[in-house]
Amino acid sequence: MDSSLRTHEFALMAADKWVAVANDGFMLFAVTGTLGFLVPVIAIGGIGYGIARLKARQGIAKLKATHLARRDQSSERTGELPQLRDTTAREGADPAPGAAASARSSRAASPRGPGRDGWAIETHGLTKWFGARVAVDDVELLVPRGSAFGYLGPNGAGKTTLIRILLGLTKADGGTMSLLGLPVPAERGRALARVGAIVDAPGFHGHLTGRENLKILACARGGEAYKHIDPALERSRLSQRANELVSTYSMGMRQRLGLAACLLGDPQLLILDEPMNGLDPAGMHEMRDMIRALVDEGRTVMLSSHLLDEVERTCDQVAIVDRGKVVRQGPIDELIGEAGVAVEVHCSDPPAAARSVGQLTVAARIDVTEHGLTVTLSPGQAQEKANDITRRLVEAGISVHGIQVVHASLEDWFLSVTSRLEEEQ
Amino acid sequence: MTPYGLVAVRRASWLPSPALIGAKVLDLRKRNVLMAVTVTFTVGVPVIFYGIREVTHLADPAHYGPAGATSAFATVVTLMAEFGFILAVLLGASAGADDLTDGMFRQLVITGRSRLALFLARIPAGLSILLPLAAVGYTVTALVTGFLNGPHAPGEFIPSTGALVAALTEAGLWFELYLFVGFTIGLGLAVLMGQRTVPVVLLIVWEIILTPALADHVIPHLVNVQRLIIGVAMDHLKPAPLAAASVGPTGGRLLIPPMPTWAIAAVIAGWILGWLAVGAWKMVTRDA
Repeated sequence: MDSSLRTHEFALMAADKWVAVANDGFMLFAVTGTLGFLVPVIAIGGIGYGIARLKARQGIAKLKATHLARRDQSSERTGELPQLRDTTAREGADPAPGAAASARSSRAASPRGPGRDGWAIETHGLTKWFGARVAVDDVELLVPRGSAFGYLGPNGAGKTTLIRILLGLTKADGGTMSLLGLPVPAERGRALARVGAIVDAPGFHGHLTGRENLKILACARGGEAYKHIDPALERSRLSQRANELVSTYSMGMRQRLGLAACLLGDPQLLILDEPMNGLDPAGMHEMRDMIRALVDEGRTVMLSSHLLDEVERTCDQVAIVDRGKVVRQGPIDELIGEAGVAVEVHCSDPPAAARSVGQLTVAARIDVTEHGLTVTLSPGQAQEKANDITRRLVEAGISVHGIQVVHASLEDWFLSVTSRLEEEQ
Repeated sequence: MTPYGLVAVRRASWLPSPALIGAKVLDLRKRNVLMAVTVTFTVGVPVIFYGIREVTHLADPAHYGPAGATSAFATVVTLMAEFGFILAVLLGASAGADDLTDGMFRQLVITGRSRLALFLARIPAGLSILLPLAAVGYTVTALVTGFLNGPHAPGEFIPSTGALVAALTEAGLWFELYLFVGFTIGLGLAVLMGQRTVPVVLLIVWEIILTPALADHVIPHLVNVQRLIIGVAMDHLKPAPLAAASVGPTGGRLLIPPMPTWAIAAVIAGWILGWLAVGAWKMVTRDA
């Protein structure tokens, strides 16, 4: 019996020991096996990734070098920065008709230069690469103080990337820049103290009210920002809904809250990326008025948008950006003048009228229409040329029923510039 | 210097201002679900656990012992530590990544405030919510253990009040340190990954599955590597009352041979500082 018990105990102990050993062995096997598998896989994967990364970098470096060489050649040919025109100091453009033009001409004379403390925004050779694609290409931008400045470009042209670089949201790969005369990023903190900005769709904490979100931003800004919360809400017409959760706000209300956030620091410079997004027509009108009011207070507003009509109504000056490069900049009136002025003539015998006007040297192009002519004039002195056309037609015995000078819009100019660029490509 | 100059100098500082910390507290405090979970797991767990024990004890003292029995103390604190670690990770990840996902981080960067200050503000803000709540929960546990531990059996060792307070304080500090570690790891990993969900899942897997799997057995030649696991270091730092009352042949401790206190401190400090450094680096260099 005792022997049987001993045997039984022995068997149990042996089994227990075997299980323990097996368990330890299994764990050892599992851990060493896992490490034995994982370590080589990680090592090989890491080396492979490193090689691929190195090759990609070499490829990108080659592409960059090619791009820079091409740019240098282009600069040597033209003797200046390619296609860049700073016409901010020029005067004497034709007055433009229409609501937008009258709004522009009715504005107080905008500052056209850098001002006492430098340009509001100044960039030289600003460049940003995303892999092998250049998003911001050697940008030279001069935004005068106290103006509304439009930054125009098709989707993907690099508008938002430039703004993100200016605000320190991403780093530039080359070039220099300054905000309100302060070099950035060296003096980023001081510069941004007087800058307000909306980038893309402004994001806020949805679980907080509009006022609480502004409190957080005011705490980050410090100084007097906390006192500006109520005036900012008032000005952006959000006072009534300021204590509601942002998650209940519409897109337009979020844009207004974004604008209120901009105003917390009593900014000298506002950088607004597509501020009209999500606004209804009334909201767009209010936003336009607000921007003009801000400019009238002596602030500078840089407005990035693809809504050309809004920019034309709001801004004094514009820059057009294409494929990361600023291709034109200056006062809107002057730039639109490049697109030429058309004279629409309603008259009898359009073919004869075309021949008669053709003898004048004022027309860049003459199109015969059903009821008359459309004469595209070369830039400058549009009204005098229209008078010459009328006089000539009357002298030729052609009955003139009506004559109208039609100025090009910003959209016409934008399309003419971008289509020219496409042809050059 | 102009007032704006002064403001700019303050904003360029990497030290977070009290207002900035307060702003982060406001953000976290207003997250209702997160706060409900935090209160439930810090204060709710001991209150419910001891409440049930006390009710059953009062109903049937013959079968159910007093709520504050010493054996229950270690179980509750261990449970609170496990839940608390996950909770701390969740809170840290929220503090680190929620403004990134909400798009608020970009707005904060545009204010010109130092990014490092924006990161550092999250640490006191999150801890100012987590640690006091954990302390309340632990205090409930300590009070119940101190006052509702029922009649002592004849011959049972009864510690002096001073010794009991010292032991409870030591266990409380260990518990708070455990949560602090969880918070910093969650914060650093969430900032690194730019989101909350994946870091929380990864750290739950790490804490519940990987740490026991890697630390329950001594792996020859890799013992020192095993000692670098934060769970092992924290286990070695576990106060005696927590370990002694635990079940199992090793008194609830892992089997990795003990290591000197300086080594434990170095491992814990390494994890805390390492993850904070990773988080700070990523926040300073991140594209907003």
